Amino acid sequence: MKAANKLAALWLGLAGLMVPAMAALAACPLPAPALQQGSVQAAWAVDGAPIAVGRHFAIELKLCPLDAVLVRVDATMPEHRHGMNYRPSLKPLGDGRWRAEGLMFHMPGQWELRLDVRAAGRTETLLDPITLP
Amino acid sequence: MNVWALLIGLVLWAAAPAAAEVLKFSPEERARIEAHGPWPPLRMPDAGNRVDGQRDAIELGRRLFFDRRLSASGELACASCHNPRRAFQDGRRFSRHGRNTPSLLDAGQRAWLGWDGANDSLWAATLAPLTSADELAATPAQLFHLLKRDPGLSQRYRSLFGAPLADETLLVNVAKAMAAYQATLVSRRTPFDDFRDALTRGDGDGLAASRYPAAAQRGLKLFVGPGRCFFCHAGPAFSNGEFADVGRPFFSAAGADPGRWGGLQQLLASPYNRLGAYSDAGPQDARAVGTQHVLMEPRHFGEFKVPGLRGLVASAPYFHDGSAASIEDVVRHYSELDAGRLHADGARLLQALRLTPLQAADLAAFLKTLSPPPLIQRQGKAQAHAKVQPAPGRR
Repeated sequence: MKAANKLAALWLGLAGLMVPAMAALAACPLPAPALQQGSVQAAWAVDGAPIAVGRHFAIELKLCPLDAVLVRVDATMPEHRHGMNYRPSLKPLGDGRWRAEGLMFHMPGQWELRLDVRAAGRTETLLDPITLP
Repeated sequence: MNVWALLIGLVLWAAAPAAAEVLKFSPEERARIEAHGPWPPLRMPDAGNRVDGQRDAIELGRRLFFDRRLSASGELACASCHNPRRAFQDGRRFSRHGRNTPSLLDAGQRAWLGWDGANDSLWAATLAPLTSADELAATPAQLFHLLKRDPGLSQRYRSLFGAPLADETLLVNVAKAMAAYQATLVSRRTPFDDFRDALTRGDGDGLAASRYPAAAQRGLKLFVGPGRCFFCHAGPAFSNGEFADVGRPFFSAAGADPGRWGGLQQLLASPYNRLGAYSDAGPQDARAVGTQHVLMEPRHFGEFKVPGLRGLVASAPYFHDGSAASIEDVVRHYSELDAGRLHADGARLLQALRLTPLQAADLAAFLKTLSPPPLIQRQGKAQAHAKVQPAPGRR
């Protein structure tokens, strides 16, 4: 097969993979600003009072595609290379919605929320920077 | 004008603290200062203790707290080490368990109790010294007989918990009554709170703000600025409630003190934690969230509780090993800190502050304003509350 044909076949293959993913995303539009990595979209919000140093909080998430599975929620301070003192628990709420409990930021500064999401046979990691004053 | 009135006015004017110029605080500094209030905080109910907040339980707990008959030897009460005249601690470097005795003021606000956080509730933290062989060494049979002999205690106990049984529930219930009393021990407002409230309501140029000493204001700027003290000493209680290694030795006469690492081992193995059968709320208790999710990692070895800073003046000595005799010694520790002694994978959180003598004095001046002014000695009820019951045979 010529190189041009190989390229065309590759594009066709990629398009074949992407069409279902795009359709899934379209099926569950997320409120902006949503995080995106590969075929996965995620949006999250704190459930309750704003995040404060030393106070436990929970977040609710919406994932697309709807059958994506939230496998891990964590947070780190990249500058100091340490994480939280707690491991959040995860609970599916149905319809692509999830709840994570047990988070706590024990210091002010730059945190990075990490969401590991399994979808279409792949695990995607979505990162969201958070500044805690 | 009456000459006497003029003289009295002059004396009062001379005795009043000189008004200080209020420093300019940036919006970022103001936000950080605001986060250290308001004070006092709202009461945090403890659903795991069904008698928490009940008047009879508070009164029963208060009586038991000062009663030496609770100990097997008849020599020790809780108040023997948690002395109300010393911010409910003992002023000694080490207590019977080898660490400095922490103050009980504001203990009802804390998620983790003790320097290692081995307990997640006030009642579990009370149960530990109540039953420890090194401390009160109380037994169910002994407490059962105490209630039998003292109708005043017995009546209150029955009204709260029903007829006493000489088993473990008696120990737990006594601990819960004492926890109800300890939850009422809240530290008083301080000069810092008046200053913080004035800034918060936009009255930074007013009288309340100008009464706050200039040295304390400069110290406050260091605290919420380059000193980065607020990183861990956060919120209204001046503690993030978590644990840290701040470069104090973790070797004691008893050997290496594992700190939080050992505390987590005890907590997770304890039948008295908030997830256990003795909690009246069970795992669904909102205050059980920490115990449900807490991580135990090697980095916790040698970490100790970040103490709140309120009431510091009355609670010397400082640090888990009581190794700093004065507030000035604490400031010196952070000024001359050996950062190389601390483990850090990334950017160091703690570095020697290298304070000038004036800066060190300012930071100490600020820390001292986190204590309430001394109360004028009052006779009567308040003192009676603070009295430790005499040991048997000494009445």
